Amino acid sequence: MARGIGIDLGTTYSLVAVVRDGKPEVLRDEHGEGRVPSAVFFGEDMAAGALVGFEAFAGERAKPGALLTSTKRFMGRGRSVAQAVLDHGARTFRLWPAPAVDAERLVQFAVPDGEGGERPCTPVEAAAYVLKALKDRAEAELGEEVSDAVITVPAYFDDAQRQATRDAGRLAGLRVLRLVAEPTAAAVAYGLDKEAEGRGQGTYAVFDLGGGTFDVSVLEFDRGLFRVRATAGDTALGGDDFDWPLAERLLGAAGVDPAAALPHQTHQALAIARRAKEALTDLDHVDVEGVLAVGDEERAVQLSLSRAELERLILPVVNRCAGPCERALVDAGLTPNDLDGVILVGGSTRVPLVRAFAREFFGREPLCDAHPDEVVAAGASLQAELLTGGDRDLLLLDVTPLSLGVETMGGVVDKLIARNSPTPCSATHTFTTYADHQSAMDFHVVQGEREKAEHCKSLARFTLRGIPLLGAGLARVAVTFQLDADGLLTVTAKEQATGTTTSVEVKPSYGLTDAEVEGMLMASFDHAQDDIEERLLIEKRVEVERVLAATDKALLEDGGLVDAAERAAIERAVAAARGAIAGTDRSAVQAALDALDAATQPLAHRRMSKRIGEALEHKRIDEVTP
Amino acid sequence: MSRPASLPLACRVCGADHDGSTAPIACVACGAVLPVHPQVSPFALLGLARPRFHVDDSALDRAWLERSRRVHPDRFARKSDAERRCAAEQVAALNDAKRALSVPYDRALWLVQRAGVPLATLGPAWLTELMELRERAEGDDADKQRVIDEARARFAERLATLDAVLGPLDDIDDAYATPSAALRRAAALLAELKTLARLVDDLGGGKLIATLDER
Repeated sequence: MARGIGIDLGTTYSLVAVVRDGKPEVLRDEHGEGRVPSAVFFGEDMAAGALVGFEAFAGERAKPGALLTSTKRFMGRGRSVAQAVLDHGARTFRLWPAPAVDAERLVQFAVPDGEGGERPCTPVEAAAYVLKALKDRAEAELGEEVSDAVITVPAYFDDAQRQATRDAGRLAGLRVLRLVAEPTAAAVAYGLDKEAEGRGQGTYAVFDLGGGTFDVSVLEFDRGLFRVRATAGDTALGGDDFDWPLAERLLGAAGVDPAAALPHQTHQALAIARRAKEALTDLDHVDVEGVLAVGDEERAVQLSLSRAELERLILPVVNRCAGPCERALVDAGLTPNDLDGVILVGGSTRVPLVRAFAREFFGREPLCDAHPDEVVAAGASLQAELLTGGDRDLLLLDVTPLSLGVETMGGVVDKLIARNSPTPCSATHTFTTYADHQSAMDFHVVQGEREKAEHCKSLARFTLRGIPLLGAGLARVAVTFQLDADGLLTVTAKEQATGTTTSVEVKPSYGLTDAEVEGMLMASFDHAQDDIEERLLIEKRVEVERVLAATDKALLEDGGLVDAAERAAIERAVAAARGAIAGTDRSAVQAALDALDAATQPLAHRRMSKRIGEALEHKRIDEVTP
Repeated sequence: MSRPASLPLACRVCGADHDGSTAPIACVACGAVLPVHPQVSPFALLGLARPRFHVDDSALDRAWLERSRRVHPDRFARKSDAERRCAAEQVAALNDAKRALSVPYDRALWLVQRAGVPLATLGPAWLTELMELRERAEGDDADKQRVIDEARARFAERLATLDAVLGPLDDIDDAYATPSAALRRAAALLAELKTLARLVDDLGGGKLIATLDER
């Protein structure tokens, strides 16, 4: 059996990992970066294919087109949800102007078609580009074809969101062995690691705040067995929500109405906001500089912010974590004192205010020794190893996050499978006809906790025909729900007297048919042989941007290590490099990169010496500590 | 002590015969995972030698975990499709058994039906009482809540009676094999419990019975 990979398909970043020599390993680019931004760029002059990851950002800066970011937020969601997000937050892209037939089940973004016009692109397709990039990375690294994958999803994803993720995998040419909940995957990697050290048995809460989703799961683990007791979350709450208030302030200061900002302005402002947020993890105050396109000019802007200000802005968002945490504990029948630990996962748990929230809510110091960005992908790779025939003492017993039911008379939901039931499982309810000689019965399958069907997520509608003509209440129809290990549902309705049966694999209609997947596969990826020269140019630009970002950071942290002349030289080289990457001459970009490298050498050396000095100092302290 | 009637079960890989009533996991001949007999008792699946009303919840939970470890389809990734499907059947049946046995009402219902006792019809006095309860719930939210609380209290009180009726049967061989006066009394209590649970559910007071609408 070929090796299976584990993929963390995140809102802002995605990663791929594989088990080698018994250990999970995140696969990295040549710069040691494991994260691939979940960003996809479609250029106006690109006939087929798209740029993914850091290259997508570079593409957006280099030429006109559409940059799709954080599209995970729209997976399996309707157009009205997408419109609401775009109306009340960052306008980073536009919806396709002509809604699909079933717009409430299908979001479409407008992207260039490469021929001067536009075409619709679904979040599933955007996710498929990201997955394909991760598959390519794994194949390059492993030197073999990769087709089997375990993909993680937020625990609180509903059936439609899971189905969309599965479709994206298929579209990227992957056989999706299993969808695993992100906090469960994190617990697996963390738990097995601790177990190898002879520790880690017990009951833990996994607090997983990513870029766009929040999950909290309560799990028990013991001898390779991971059992989820309860899970809760919010699929529209994440670190992305921290960036927008900062970006709004930045846009406002530059004289741009945030509500009317163009997509590329919004992207620029969000990037600056994110840098400020990240810097405030370690610093109490930052001044972050950047450029913002205003009219035809690139205007230099500055975001000056203290940690206290940041915390005031994001507090309402952080506090939204409380509800899910309470629900998970109540459903597990536990109090914070019953836990053996709280594991922090997800890049946004680096934010000091988030850590403080977790500390206060659970009444204990949270465990921060799992790698917040990489532990989910690592856990997925362990499950992938198991499902491709690996010999490891590991078993996940997961639950369904949301109740499943059918709509009955008066629009009330009859729940067949309660939330937090172990999966796989099944349940049967019997329904009777309500009219004389009723020959058919309509069923509406819903998911959610609310009493009324209209407030729950609609998953499917179907009709059972051929019911024998009897008086009202005499014909009996047994409805069976079967939930598989991925949390995907099949519903069967069977008339008891005649055995007439109808069965549906609950597949929201935005889901793709096999033929559609085939068609899209043919149309996009395999024709994506872009101009090699252009790809090289873009890669080079990405490299320059990395060096520019590193230089910014170094000057911010250790600006005092260079004298005025050295600083002036660096600033000249930075300006030259910025100019070069705006153009299309690859050799000019390379020259600017070399000049920048040379100008920053003194600073880099002194920073290195300073770090070594600090490390030695720590060592001395360690040595004298009894 | 008599064993439950045997349920013929063939291995899907080699065809060897087994007794499905004991919920076997692996084929005695070829070692493959076996399918689950549709009539197997949830007690057998959870490792209890014979059906009983009183169960130790933590022992039930441990049995569920241990069997999950052995039958989970993830453990059989390298096996044939047929065997993996059997493992999937096993774990789904196991989860369903746990759900059915973790609530006293559902356990009692299983025992009464197994003995062949028909579910009792409700007496006129009880129906009158129930109608009166429903009428009182038609006022404002406070009225509704009072009725929910009262119905829940009555549910708890009848459940205690059920416990007193069925508890002693656990120690008697074959007590759940054939109808008896005690089981008929239990059936009457179950019918009342179900109408109370239905009332609470209708009023939005939550589900007191997992399998309220099944069968």
